[in-house]
This record gives sequence, structure tokens and C-alpha cells, in this order.
Amino acid sequence: MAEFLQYTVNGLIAGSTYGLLALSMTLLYGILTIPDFSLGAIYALGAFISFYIIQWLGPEYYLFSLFPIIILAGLLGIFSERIVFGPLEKAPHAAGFIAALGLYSILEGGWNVWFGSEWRNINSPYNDMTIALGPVSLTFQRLILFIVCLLFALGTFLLIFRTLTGKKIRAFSENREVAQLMGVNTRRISALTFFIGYALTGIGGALVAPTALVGASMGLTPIIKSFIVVALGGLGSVTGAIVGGFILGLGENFGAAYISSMYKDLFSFGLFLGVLILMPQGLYRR
Amino acid sequence: MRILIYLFLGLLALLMPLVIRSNYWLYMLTLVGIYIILVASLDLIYGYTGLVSLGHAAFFGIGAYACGILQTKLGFPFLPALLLGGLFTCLAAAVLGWPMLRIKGPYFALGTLALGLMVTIVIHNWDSLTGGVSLSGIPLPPVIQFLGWTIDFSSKRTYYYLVLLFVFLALFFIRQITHSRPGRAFQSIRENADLAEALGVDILRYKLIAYVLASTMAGVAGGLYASYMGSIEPAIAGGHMSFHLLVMIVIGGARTITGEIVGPLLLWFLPEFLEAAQVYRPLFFGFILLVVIIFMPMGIAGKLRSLHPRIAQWIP
Repeated sequence: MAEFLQYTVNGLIAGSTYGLLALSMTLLYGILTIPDFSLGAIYALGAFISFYIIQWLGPEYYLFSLFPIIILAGLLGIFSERIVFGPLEKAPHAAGFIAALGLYSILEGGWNVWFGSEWRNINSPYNDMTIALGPVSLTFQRLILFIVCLLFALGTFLLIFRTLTGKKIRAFSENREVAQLMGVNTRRISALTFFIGYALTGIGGALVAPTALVGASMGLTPIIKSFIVVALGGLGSVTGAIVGGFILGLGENFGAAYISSMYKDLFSFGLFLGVLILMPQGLYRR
Repeated sequence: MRILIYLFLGLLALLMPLVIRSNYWLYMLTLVGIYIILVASLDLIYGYTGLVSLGHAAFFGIGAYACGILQTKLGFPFLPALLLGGLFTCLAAAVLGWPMLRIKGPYFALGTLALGLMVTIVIHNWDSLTGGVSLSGIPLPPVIQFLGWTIDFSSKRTYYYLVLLFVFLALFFIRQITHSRPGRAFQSIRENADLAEALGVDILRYKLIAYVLASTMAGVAGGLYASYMGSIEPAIAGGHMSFHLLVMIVIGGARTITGEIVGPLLLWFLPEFLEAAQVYRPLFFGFILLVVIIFMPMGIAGKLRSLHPRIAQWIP
């Protein structure tokens, strides 16, 4: 029983990151109508920035590093919207998708050059502190990960559903032309959504970094998993992304625990293909 | 008109080893030849049928490992191993493609990527069968004595001709199939799948045919690669490899034989000429891809064709 609880907690923690990433993906999908693969590189960027902040300023500044990450990742998002995806608005979908791949490749290549191709470990001060909640134990870092992810997810949820700006974003993703007719400044909304999406992903990377290996291609598998979540929850659905994230996190952890941990990723991908084949529209309609 | 181009290119390729004596360059050209087979097969799926596949390398890997394992663990000779490897890849593609090709849109591309990664994970972890981190000791084809001629495949030049033979076969096959009834079905799927279906084209069946044919070609290319390199690793089936193939066809120009040849040649030799360190290559690839997809989505061959109809006549 104690193990079961431990797996559940692990699953919820993993799920919170997947949910956050899927949230970014789904927000950007509303604008682009293609999944933005380059988010995988932004995830890695978040991890690197927190790594350098820790190196230059000391481990106490770990949480502080979230601020520059938000700004840098966000700006990168605006840049990518203007330079890469903007010109491709009218092109067929495949072109945008390929452009996202190209962007990912450039960024990942860039990180390889800048950061080096070895995988490293990052230590935040929270990694060494553990807490026990009943029979379950977790490091403080992972608790922070969970809480921060939830906070940002909640914050984004409130933004999307309770503010005027959020309404504009939703209007844009439902029908771009009509939104423009209704007075929504689509250029600004695009840029803002990209800023948010990229910033959230960067934060996700930074939060996970102390608990995993950090390297230029660390974002590849998480980004695929966020696709899985988005497939589960429905492309474009914010609630679907968050709920789907937890489902994947739990499913993956239970699968690893009770089936085989070597094939953990395999299990997620298998689940992905299964969902795609059997339920193409996901759990939530758009 | 195009016959002349084909003859010219064919002759050029045949005479190449007489001009280029360096083993290093022959090695490069042989690998480019293998890539040409791969890219041509990807073009069948992507260019003609319109399916963005990020998992094409998976079948390259499956074919390579099948051929390698048959030779190293089961002692099969080269040609049967190559053919059986191709057959195995064909079956794998049919089994995997059957459910996957029902998936539409961006999900299909991601599904193929997931598939490719799953293949690498299985290859990596099933080390009793695949050698895990790498499979080595794959032999070259044996020396053949034929009417007084000795064909020794350890010579770079001989293996070049072997691969060249397969390149000719592959390109010929692609050309024939795309100019046939199934070929027109493939293109109709790309142009407007719903309309094609309304007109009576069985979409799933033709997608599957294209997918299986292309994957089998990739598998055979894999077998050639395995015997040439002697040792292979799981990464050859993975996302980065698939991505390179896609970049090659996009830049070369989809739906053109020229593109299938130029793409690999350019993307292989240009970094060599620029003496770019291995580390800068993904940057380079990604950048060119972005530039091409934004400004020249039809690729180099497509762009050349669009310059003038007279020129288009000469670009197959």
C-alpha cells in the first residue's frame, strides 16, 4: 500500500510537468494550428539558464532563475512567432510543422555548441532535503516542482478563462478572422500567447532540471510526451492538457512500477499510439 | 528529353570511380548512394502521397539489424540476409502501418516519430538479440569468382558499384511507380484526400501500399549499410536520422528524381566542403531547412523547374 501511494505521488509530480508542457503546446496550437516542436529546445534552455544562474550566483538563487527564464524564453517565443511562423501563416500545414522541426534543430544544435554535448547534473539546494508525508517520501525539489507547476497551470487557466485577454486568445484560436473583425489585435495576441507558451516551457525545464540529467536534447522525449498529453486531452483544450498530464504521469509511473521500468518510455509511446488510433479526438472536444 | 539526362547521370555515376581514386571519397559516395535510396523512398511517402513521416529511419534500422542479425547470429550469407531483411521490414511496415495510417494530420507525423523512438528503445534494450549498444562483426559480402573475374567486396570501388546498382533499381522503381495508376492514386491522396476518396480511391489501401513499398526500400538500404559499416547502433533508426532524411528531400525538392539525388549529395558534401565541425551540423541543417521552407518550399529542383518551362523539361 505504501508503494502504491509512492507511485501515485510520483505520478502526480511527473504529471504536473507534463501538464505544464502540454499547456504550452495547446496554447500555441490554438494560434498556429500546428504543434510547435521547437518547445523541446526551450525546455532545455530553461534548464541551462538555471544551471548558469546557479553557477554564477550560487545555489540559493535557483528559484530566482525562473525570472530570467520567463523573460528570455518569452522573448524567444516572440522572435519565433515573428520570424519563423508568421511568414508561414498562409502556407500548408506541413510547411509550418517542418519549420518547427527546423527551429528545434537550430536551437538544439545551438545548445550543443554552447553547452557541450555531455549530459550533466544540476544540483539545487532543495535536492538534498527530503520530506515524508506519511508513508511517502519525496525530495523538497520535487515538491516545489509540483507546487510551482500547479501554480502556473492555475494561473494560466485563470488567465485564459477569467480575463479579457484570455477571452481574446480563445477567440483567436476559435476563429481568427472573426476575432479580427471583433477588434482583437491578432498580432499582439499571437505574440503574447507565444510569450506565455515559451515561458511556461522554459520554467518546466528549469524545475525538472535538478531531478534529471541535463543536456541539449533533454527536451526531445518530454516534448513527445506533451504531444501525447495533448492527444489525450484534445488539441486546443486547456483543461484537457492539465488533466491529460496527470493521466500520463500516473499511467507512466504505474506502468514502470508494475510492468518494467526499462521500457517506461516505450509504454508512454505505446499509450500514445493507442490513443491516436482509438480515440482521434481525445478526451475533451475543443 | 529526360532519357538523355538519365543516361548522362547514369554514365557519370558509373565512371565516377575511374576518376576518383581516393578510398575516402568512394566511401563518401557509397554512403550518399545509400542515402539516395532512403530519400527516394521517403519521397514516395512524403512527396507523392503527402504523408509527413518522421519515422522513416525506423525501417532503415529494422532492415539493417535484420540483415546484421541474420548474418552474425544465424550465419546467413549476404544476399539471403539482405533479401530476408527486406522482407522482414516489409512485414513490419505492413503491421505497423495498418493502424498508424488511419491517423490524420499532425498526429500521424508525431505517431511516426514515436514509432521510430520505440524502435530504438527496443533495439537498445533487447541486447540478447541486437547487441544493445551496438551490433558489430557484420561481414561484407563474400568474394565471388565468376568466369575468371574476381569480385572482392572489401574494395571500396566494388561496394560502390553494388550500392549504385541498388540506386539505379530504386530510382527506376520510383519513376515507374509514380507514373502508373497507383502513383496517380498516391498523388491524388496528397492533393486532396477527401476528394480522392469521394472519387473512389481507397485511401487507406494506397497509403499502405506506398508506406510498405517505401519502408521495404529503406530496409534494403539498411542491409546494404549494415554490411558496409560492419557495425551498427540503435541511433540509425532514430529521430535525428529520420529528420536528416526529411531535410534532404525538402531541400532537394519533393516529387523529383533530381531532388532525391541532389538532396543527399548537397547535404552530405556541403558540410564537408565548409569544413564544419560535426557539432555545427544540426545548426546548419536546421537553418537551411528553415530558409528553404519559407522561401523555396518546392526545394532546389522545384525552384529550378519553376524558372522556365524549357528548363523544367530537363529536370526529371
